[in-house]
Amino acid sequence: MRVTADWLSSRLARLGFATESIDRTGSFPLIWARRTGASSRRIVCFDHYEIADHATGAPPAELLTGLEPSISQNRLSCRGVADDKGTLLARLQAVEALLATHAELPCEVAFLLEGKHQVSDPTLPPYVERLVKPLRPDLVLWETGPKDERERPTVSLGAKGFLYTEIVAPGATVQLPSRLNIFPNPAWHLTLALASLKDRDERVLVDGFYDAVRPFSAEEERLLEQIDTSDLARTLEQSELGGFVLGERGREVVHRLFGEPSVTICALESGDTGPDVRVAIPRRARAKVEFRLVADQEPFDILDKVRAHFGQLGFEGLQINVMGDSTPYASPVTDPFIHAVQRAAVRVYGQPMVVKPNSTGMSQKYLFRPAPTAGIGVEYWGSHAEQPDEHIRLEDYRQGIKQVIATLQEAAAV
Amino acid sequence: VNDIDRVEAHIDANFDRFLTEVQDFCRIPSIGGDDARMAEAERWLVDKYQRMGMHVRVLEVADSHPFVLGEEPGPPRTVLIWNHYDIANFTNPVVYPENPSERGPFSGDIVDGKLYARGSTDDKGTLLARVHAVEAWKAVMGHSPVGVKFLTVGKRTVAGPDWGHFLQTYHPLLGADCCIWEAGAKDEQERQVITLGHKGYLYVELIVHGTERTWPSRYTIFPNPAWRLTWLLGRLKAPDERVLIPNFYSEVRPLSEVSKRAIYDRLADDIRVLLEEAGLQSAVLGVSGRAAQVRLYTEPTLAICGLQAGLPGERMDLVLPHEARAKLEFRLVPEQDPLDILHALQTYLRDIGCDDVEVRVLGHSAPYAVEPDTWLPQLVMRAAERAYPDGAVFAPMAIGFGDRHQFHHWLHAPIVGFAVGYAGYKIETNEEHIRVEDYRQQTKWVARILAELAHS
Repeated sequence: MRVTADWLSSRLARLGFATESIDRTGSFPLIWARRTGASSRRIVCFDHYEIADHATGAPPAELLTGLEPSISQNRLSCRGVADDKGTLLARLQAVEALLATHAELPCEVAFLLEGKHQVSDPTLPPYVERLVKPLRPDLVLWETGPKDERERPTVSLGAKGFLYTEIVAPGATVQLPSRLNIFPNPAWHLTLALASLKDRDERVLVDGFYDAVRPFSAEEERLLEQIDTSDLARTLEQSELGGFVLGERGREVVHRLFGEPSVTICALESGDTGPDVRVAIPRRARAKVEFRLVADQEPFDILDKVRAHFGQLGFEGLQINVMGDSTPYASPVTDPFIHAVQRAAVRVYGQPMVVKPNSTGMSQKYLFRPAPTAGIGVEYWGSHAEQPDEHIRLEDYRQGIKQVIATLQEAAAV
Repeated sequence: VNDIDRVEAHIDANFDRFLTEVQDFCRIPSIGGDDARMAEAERWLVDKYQRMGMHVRVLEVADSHPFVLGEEPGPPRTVLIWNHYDIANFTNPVVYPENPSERGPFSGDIVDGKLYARGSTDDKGTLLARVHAVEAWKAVMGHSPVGVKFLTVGKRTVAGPDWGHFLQTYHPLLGADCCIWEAGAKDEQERQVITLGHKGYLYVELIVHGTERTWPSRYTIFPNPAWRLTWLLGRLKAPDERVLIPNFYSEVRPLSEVSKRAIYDRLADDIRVLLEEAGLQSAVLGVSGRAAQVRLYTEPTLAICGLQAGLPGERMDLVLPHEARAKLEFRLVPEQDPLDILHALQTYLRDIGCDDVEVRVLGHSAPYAVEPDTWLPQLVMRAAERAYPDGAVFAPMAIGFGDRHQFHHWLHAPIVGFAVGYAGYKIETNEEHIRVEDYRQQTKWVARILAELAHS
């Protein structure tokens, strides 16, 4: 991680950026680089240089495969190339190309490059506050914007938030055989508590959970209609699953993914997890539970409500530990700088972008409020981010560089 | 001086030697599955039985360590004595302390009248008290008052081998008029407990399948097997602990009035001690006293023994699990049949729309109980009234599961159980121990039982 940070810093310095590499406790160096431009417009590029591995479910050994880059059949394959090194480099090389052909950049450009230890880096907020906020950026270019299955460029604006908790039901201090059936079983305690969180119709049963949910505007609804989810439909067809979670089709799929807050059990762990018969009452039971949120839900308000829910139903003694949180952000969809991104795309791709008002993944876009955030990238629907065969297509990369150049020019003209 | 007094005098005169033998045997770390150590314990037993002049056979049993059968002929009756020479290692695996000054699991040391070793109560001490009772009779009278068959088994797994298959092969060698099993320690009030049966169990794993691979959790559109499992478990048992599977309780044999009187009026309330040892505030549903005993001894129950979905550990993994598993144990009472219960579970899963949930059977055995007012429990109790000044009580069932039902099915002989233990024996820990005076009492008690069997 250190080598990568140094590589990026010297690269930016050579391009004439005022560059700092900031050491942080609890995470890897943060790189902050600025260079002024011809106009007073300011654009911040936010990217990360670590290879993501938090949502793969893959064993650690598998994550170490696919790390050797190779180019064949017009593809560049390497773990991390789609998420996010390709997109990051396209931005650097866009700047490089502009400086090779112009005296200065069309607008002021800053890079905030993150090397994080875990998703939703808890060490990031004070740096955004100190470094980015005083700059009052007109636009933040975010990562992730794959071409969809119909080869259309996409941009995602807002982001869902989340509250990631570990819920623990403690039991006896010693291992008790299951014949002692008079002792409370923490696995039952946890199971019944979890079952109370969500109904079979996917409705979260925590009082007030939906209170702050802001419905999509008419404009956002119009944009949602453009989103293509045929890749998911195909995955469904190829699997033995009978259907999506509630049999959703078409627009309902898009709404669940982009508009609905949810709660997911990411892990369950208790007692006997081996192949044998071990007749014992588990010492404790543990679940990792993720609440995925939409604007304007606040993670810690949701935490209070979950605690109140368990209290009301008499699920006592459960420990709820917060492992991570991020606030959702509904980035403005009609901002003139978002329109600049769209105009740039028409120039490069010869067709309008699909604008996703929200994104389903986890990011800390909210830290940059009120700047509009636009997620664009060099990957495509089949890039298989976070998998051993992660790759980008070379033509997408070429277009991705041009998209950044055009965006800077369009933004300067706003 | 009558015969039993001479036998008791012999036990007292040879007691130190008996204890040394218990120490030797306990120091063999015969953990089920460890072939070398189990073979060592097997040789020790064969040698002991042979030196006593018994006829010894080593029975090869599939998926198990060999069983040792020691036979002492003697009319007019024959008793089959069932014990095991493996160390139970299924709930708390054996742990050797890092600090050598701490007590190891197989020390065999006698400190303050207590002999320490994993397996000392369960089941090596319990076995040898019986062996020494026969030895004492032979030393004093030249023969045992009744025929004795020591069937000493070496289990490799908690369930043991396929008992039906074993008995089908070997039951002609095992014929007896009655059978003495293990299980049954002294209670809180120092009364010897005689167990009249045991619960049964059905251990299954439920597997709910989802997507073919693990997806990032942002794909909230895919069904989550962990939720389905959670909801399914919530439909198996109500918060009041009642199992919700139709017909689960239909074969439960109601307690006879004799059982109730014989049992509950005399069982001590040791719930508080158990709770304290476990670091718990209260029992499930807050039960205590009689209600706790009823639950412990007579209620069939359902426990979750394991849960697994997604990635374990301390990381914040944003994943949608592709499958979720639960290990469930149904603990059964007479006359519940584990395979009937399995069928009821499968039917229920189908009825609640969970027929795609995979059910794997990992183990089962049926419950067994003999009524307290029948001849064998009464005979053993009579002998206990002499041997135990603090008295003895019947427990309707050992709360563990066992294999008595299979032996009863093949041998048609009633079965009772007891062991050399007491309320503080710390079973399956490095502190497991027997009190040597309990050992003396039990050896004398067994000697009396043998005499009573001859005269009954």
